[in-house]
Amino acid sequence: MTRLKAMALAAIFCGGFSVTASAEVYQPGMQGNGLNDLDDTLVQHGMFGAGFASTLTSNNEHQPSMVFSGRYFAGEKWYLLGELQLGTFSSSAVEIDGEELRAESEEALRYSFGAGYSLLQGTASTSGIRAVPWVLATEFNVGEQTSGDTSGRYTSLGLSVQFQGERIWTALGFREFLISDERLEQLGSDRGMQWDISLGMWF
Amino acid sequence: MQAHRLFRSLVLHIALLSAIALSIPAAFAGQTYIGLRSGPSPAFPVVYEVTEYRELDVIYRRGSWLYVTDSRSNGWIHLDDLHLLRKFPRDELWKLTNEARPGKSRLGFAMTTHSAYALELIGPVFSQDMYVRYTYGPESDTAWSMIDAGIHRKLAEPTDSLVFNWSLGASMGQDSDGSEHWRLDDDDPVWVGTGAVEAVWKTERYFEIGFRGDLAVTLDEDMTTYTTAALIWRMRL
Repeated sequence: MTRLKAMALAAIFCGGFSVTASAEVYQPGMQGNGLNDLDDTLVQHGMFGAGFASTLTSNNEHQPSMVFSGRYFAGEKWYLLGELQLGTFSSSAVEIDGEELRAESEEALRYSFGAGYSLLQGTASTSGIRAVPWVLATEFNVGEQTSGDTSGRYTSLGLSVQFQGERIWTALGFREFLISDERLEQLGSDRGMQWDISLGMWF
Repeated sequence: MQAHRLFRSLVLHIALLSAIALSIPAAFAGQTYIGLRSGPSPAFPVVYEVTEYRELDVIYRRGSWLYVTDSRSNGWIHLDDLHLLRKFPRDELWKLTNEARPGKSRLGFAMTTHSAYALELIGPVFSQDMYVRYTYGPESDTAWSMIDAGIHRKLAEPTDSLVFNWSLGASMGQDSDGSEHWRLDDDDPVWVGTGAVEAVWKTERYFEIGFRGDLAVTLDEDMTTYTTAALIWRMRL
């Protein structure tokens, strides 16, 4: 009987030890590898900015506008692009066969998305002490432009030179664009070119 | 005897000096210099060099590149070159490498030959890649749209950077503002079966460009069929 009790006690203790042992088995979901305890590194995802643009649509005058842009890095050379542009579209009315096709003061609103690809990279320096990296990128945009009461698809292809400072960046851009808007086609104002200058920060 | 001892001492000294003289350039030749670049790409020039024993702190990361400083100067170094820095903590290196690794989900944008745009999301659901895609086709004053979901699988991977995929899905097609794209009697949505084959080129760590051939068939009596080609831009999240 005593032997039986001893065996039972031994079984309990052994069971206890085996529970302790199984608790020490590495469980990936429970046990950290310590990497999460390290300080997080800041990550730069992209750049956003605001700027001024001057747009010259065919059969129209130069029109000023504000451009807001966001670029999200997709790799070393590619980035995704989003833009919002607000400005004036016309400063004089146009009538064809007695019908006013363009009002005297029309406003334009454009939103577009696209991608940019860095063609050339380099470093600019005036003093030789500080070096500022620059990028020449080609940018493709597709979106919609609303002017007056009509709207149409906006497509553009252009170049952008970006000077990338540590905290801020500045960019100069030039593009050619097409707008598939029947009213603008009648006016012969469905294409044009634009230059813009932007200043922004990293995020 | 004296002369012999003197000669032996002379030989020993010459041997010792020769060994020292030979070891100095060898020691310098073994020194590794790591270049820090002015920007986050190998296309940017090296503007600063550090030895492998230099201690560098990471200021921030952009993709696979790190902007680092040794408190005297700053520059960009690729994650793959970080192991060359002998004093850089290994655990921090592992953490940075893990964080920079692209995920399995992808966000894509496509333009089709039917002048339509599509926005798509591909990601693992129960260890199987699934996709959800919204396509919008403006047609002057009218428009059509399609919301699509299904399975997305790899067909072949002939090289490290080129992948062929296929997908199969079910969609809801909708005409609006009088569009006759789906040739519907009314503006009620119609079920559409879709299939596609695509070739995707992994241009960068986080970015892919591809070409897709789509087939869409309305699941009604008319069985209106469309074949389209699409150019796709896809980002790994």
